[in-house]
Amino acid sequence: MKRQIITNDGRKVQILRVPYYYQSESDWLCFVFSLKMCLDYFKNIYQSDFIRSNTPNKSVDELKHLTHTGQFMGTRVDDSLVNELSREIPSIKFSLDEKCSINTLLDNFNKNLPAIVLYNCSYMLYEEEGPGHAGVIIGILDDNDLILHNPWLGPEVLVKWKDFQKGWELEYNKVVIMKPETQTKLEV
Amino acid sequence: MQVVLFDMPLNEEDARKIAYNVIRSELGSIPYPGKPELKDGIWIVPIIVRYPRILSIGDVPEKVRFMNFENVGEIKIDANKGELLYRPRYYEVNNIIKENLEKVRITVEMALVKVGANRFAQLPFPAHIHSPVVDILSWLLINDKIDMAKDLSLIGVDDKGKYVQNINLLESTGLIRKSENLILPSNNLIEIETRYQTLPEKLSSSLAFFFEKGYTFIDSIKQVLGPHLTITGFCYEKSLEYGDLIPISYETIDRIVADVYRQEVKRIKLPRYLIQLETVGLLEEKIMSGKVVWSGTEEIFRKIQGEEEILQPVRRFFA
Repeated sequence: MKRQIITNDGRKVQILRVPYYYQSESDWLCFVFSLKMCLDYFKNIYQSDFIRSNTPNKSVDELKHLTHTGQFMGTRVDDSLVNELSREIPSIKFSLDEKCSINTLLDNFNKNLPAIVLYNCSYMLYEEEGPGHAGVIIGILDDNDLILHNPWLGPEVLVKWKDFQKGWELEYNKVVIMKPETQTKLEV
Repeated sequence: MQVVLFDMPLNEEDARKIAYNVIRSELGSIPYPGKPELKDGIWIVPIIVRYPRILSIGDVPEKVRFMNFENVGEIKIDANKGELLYRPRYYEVNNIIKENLEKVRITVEMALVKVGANRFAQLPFPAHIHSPVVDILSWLLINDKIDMAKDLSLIGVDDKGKYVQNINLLESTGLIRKSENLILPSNNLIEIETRYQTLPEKLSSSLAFFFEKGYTFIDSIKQVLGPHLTITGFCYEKSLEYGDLIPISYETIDRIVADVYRQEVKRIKLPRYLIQLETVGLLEEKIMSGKVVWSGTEEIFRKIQGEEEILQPVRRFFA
């Protein structure tokens, strides 16, 4: 589930084999594409046969519909959305956590789980606040620098921890956590 | 019932947090809260949009720019109770963003039509395109005059309105004039007729004149130029956002045509449109990493950038 890459500043790091999809012309679909990347990882790569078999194949259009993502406005990411995702994709338990720290991200990564971080990409890049953005954490280096799949800017992007923190704090350090549900639910 | 977990009265940070939660759960990820202001015991938090535009070279993401749409609404919170007093509806904010994007698109198309008038006029116009402007000019070039009472009676009531509207547009550009019930060539059309020998040249030149002088009548021009203007407008708009000419993949252009026209027949004609646009010098084909991509031309792009008067209303949107 992991492979090694060399970052553009020459460091070796193990990353999760999460497939990357570029968001292309749809400027408002970052969460949908992040979700697609993670679901395809659980469907095709994750270690558990049960999870791979029970995670559905969802197209971008299906995920747009499922997340009620609006043209021009983006996705309304809140507790209601993650509850709905958990209902519709029962192999994964979704939760939206706030005030997370690097430990949250490390915990997930060490369990071979990607995490969708909600951060302010504009502030991170240009020190000017902008829209909320979603990306997938696929790797963490020793000094907490991150490797991120950024639907806007490309795969395996190295992001300095001090830069990421700036943008993350504006979105209240939110993370969408995805935990595989390996037990079959009892339906009465 | 709203559960409030903040100290009262609310401070600025807490007001921002409440507004942020409202925006994220009721509106979406694109808008964000601005700096709260306290007025008469009410925190007023502006809702700001800096709209992301992803810019790619071909299909490879290159950078993201943010268009400044500024305040699109506000949220009001009772500072003493922490209660939400007002927030705009989803569709209100959505429509403002949509209108701003539309404004940018139309403005770029106007500038493009103005500077590319001669080249657009050289495009072939299929017979089935409903274009009163082309019909009126063609009629005058061959039949010398239009009798409003007699000649326009040939067309139905619905279409007649469009012809009358376009007659007024052509009159405002000085190509035609009215004399009681007659429509006659005006000085500019006469000058064009004198200068050129063949009918196709005269029609093409008079259309170029109309595009250049009448670029603000973009809806009527779009009836003539249709997908050609949609495609070139998109390519040059992306380049303006990027700040330089940017190559665009065939797939991206195909997606735009599909989104705008929702007719498969238009998509089948896309290769033809691209070849025509290259023939008249509005687009260029390039090879990048073994893939064919399309971009505007340096000359047209520089001219569009120079159209300060037209672009001025939307300059602030380009960060």
